[in-house]
Amino acid sequence: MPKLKHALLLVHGAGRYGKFEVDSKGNKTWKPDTKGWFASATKTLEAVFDIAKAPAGKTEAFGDLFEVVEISYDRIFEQFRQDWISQAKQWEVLGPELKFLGLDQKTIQSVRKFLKSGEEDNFGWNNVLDVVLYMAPTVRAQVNAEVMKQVGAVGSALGKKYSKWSFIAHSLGTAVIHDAYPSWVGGRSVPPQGPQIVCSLSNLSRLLNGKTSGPHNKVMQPGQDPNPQSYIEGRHDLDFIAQILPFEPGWDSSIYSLYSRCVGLNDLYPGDTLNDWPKTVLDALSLPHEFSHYMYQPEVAARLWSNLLGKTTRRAEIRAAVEKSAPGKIEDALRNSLKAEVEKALKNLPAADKIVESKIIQALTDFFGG
Amino acid sequence: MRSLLSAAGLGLVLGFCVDSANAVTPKPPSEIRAGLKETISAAIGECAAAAVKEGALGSTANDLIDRFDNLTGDEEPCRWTGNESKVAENSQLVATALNADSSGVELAQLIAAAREVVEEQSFGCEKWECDVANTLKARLDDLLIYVRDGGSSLGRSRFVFNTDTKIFGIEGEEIDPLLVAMRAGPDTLYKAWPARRFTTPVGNLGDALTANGAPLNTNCAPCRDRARELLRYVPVFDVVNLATLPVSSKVWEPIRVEAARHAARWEAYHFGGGSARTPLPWELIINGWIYQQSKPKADREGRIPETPTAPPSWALVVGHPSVGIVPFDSKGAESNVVGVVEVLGYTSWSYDDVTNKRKDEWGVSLAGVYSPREEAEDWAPGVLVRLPFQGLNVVWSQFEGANGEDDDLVALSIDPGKLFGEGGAGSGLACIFGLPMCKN
Repeated sequence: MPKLKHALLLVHGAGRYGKFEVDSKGNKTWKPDTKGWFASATKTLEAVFDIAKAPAGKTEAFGDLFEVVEISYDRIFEQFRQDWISQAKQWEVLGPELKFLGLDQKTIQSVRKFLKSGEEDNFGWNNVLDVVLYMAPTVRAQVNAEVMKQVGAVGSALGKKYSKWSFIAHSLGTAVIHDAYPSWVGGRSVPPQGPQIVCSLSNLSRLLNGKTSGPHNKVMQPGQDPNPQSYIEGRHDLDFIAQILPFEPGWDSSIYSLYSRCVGLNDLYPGDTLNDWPKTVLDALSLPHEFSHYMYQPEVAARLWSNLLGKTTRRAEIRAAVEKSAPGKIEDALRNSLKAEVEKALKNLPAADKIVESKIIQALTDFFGG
Repeated sequence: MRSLLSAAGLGLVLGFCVDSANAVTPKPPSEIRAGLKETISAAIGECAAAAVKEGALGSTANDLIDRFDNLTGDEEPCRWTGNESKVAENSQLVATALNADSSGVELAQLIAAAREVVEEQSFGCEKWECDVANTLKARLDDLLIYVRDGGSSLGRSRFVFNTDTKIFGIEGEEIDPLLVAMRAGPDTLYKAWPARRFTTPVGNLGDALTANGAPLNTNCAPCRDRARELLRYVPVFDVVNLATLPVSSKVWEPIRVEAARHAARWEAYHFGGGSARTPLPWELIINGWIYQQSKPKADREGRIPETPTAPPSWALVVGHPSVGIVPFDSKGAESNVVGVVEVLGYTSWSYDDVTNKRKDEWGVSLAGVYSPREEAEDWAPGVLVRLPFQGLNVVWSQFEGANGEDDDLVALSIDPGKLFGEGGAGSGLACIFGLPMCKN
């Protein structure tokens, strides 16, 4: 009988991770993770595991205990982008003077431009477009089904390939699992085995799924199957995206209130995959949102790995080890050089929600030492 | 305990039918409770001792024992966490399993007795204790249901007690690890899986005893007693976990199959008409709104249905431009290529049972047809009919001809991405019609 492993279901956020490729025969096929995000995230998980395992009293290799399973849905968004580009190009066959139903040339060109916007590898715009697409009910339903097809494949392999499974989700991925998983298992009369852990980094589920008091959210609360046994949330004070509408589920689970919350993080850890961080203000502002950055947060790492390794009593030791080993914690000199840049950028920010803005400014002030 | 119960023919009135021939005299709950505790402690204590002695459990049990020893030092406070609900829940499950004899009635008695204990303990409990008690009560109620049903279905639990085969375990499994565990005794049990270590469904029991920040129970005596009792279950949890895995995969499999079917059909819904038919943003909004309204009311109000609403097999087409080709005489137009904008249309299809792709698609749209010409209006109203063939649409319109009469215009609106794309079946046609997709 093969050794059963703990499946870590890694769920990506918004953005492009794979791409369509056309072979010499004209066949279009989807190539996942061509940008290497999953590979990089797996490398980060392995690296932090290597730091955590000694204080946890483990000697096994990562691959002996865990298997990272990629859960991806970016193909759906990319298909929309590609088809819209294709449609916009077809209209160009009709020439630049196309007018229709009283719409002026400028409006039509704007629509064309919007639909073709996916041609450019604009990180920010593609992220926004993914989120907007996910808000469309039929797109969301497709994404949910696609994700649960992949999760179901892991569940079906319990006892054959896997002994347990957990979610590790980032950004948009957190909203996806918060909607997909309860939608597909929450109403079952026979609940399936739930995840051991849901690790939710930069949680957008409240922002994108609405109220946190609904039945969907109750399925994510630590408890009996199909609920997870534990829920770990990572939220950095400087992660603006996670701060827009922070995840506040109001769960009464003692496991959640005692062990799961991991908010108020404010140290910056570039991590092992980010060698040149940060060069610009934009870099500095987006760094806290990065997966690698969260994984190297000592508090997140300690909670995650102590739980995954069944050694939560060693949490303090794991935390200390990660803090000591985490590469490239931002030093004071860099911190100071960024301070002026960030303050300048903040002055030019458009008016925002007062509460959110005050939180961000407070966090920045704390971070830069007032 | 078992012999006591069966020999004396004792039983409880449990609120469900018991064959009168097998009717038993109720035994006082207190006696059942005392016997239950004794039996459980003896059975699992033996099992744990043997396992630890053999070292079969490796560090799991040893770690726990170390921590337990540390914990129970006089100066060390006892700490508990919500993990214990899982521990207790499974302990109770194992307890009932271990005591299962050849009589479903007897098992039911044990379950009912256990439930009474829980009920009694939960009176005036602290919050975390109430959580544990409620969890236990729910699980025990589940177990009772299965005993009543004779294990005819999996129901809401992973375990089934079949009153015919007298097997308490996984329905339909040739090998029932839990049953083996229960009947074989500790020696056989741990020799059967010497190289395997299954972590328990309760996580790390040690966490329940020593984790930082947990609620403090200053009364160490009962804490220690309960911890000792729970510790005895550790070896059995491993087997319970093993026993539940095949059932878990069985519960997951229909979800996987169903989700795969939905995913394939949603793929067909959005992209199955070809790239030229992929819904535009405003169509996603309109059809998405309709889809939301089509869900059952309870679902819209928040109740989670057994399965999400299936993809629709129809859609509205709104403001959707495409390109058509006039295969015959274009009658004064500057080009054989026309623009077609479906102002409002309806299209429906069915899904193939095997491939889940669209089939039998029909539709009709009111369209604006754009065909630039020198002596007449560039635009004319028309009708587009969608046919169930490779995304082929037929467009009809009437343009004002040179002699002032209306000239019929028939165009084929096709998904060029499907037929004229690189290497596509109709790529040669793209060149014949001078379409930009013809690269040569």
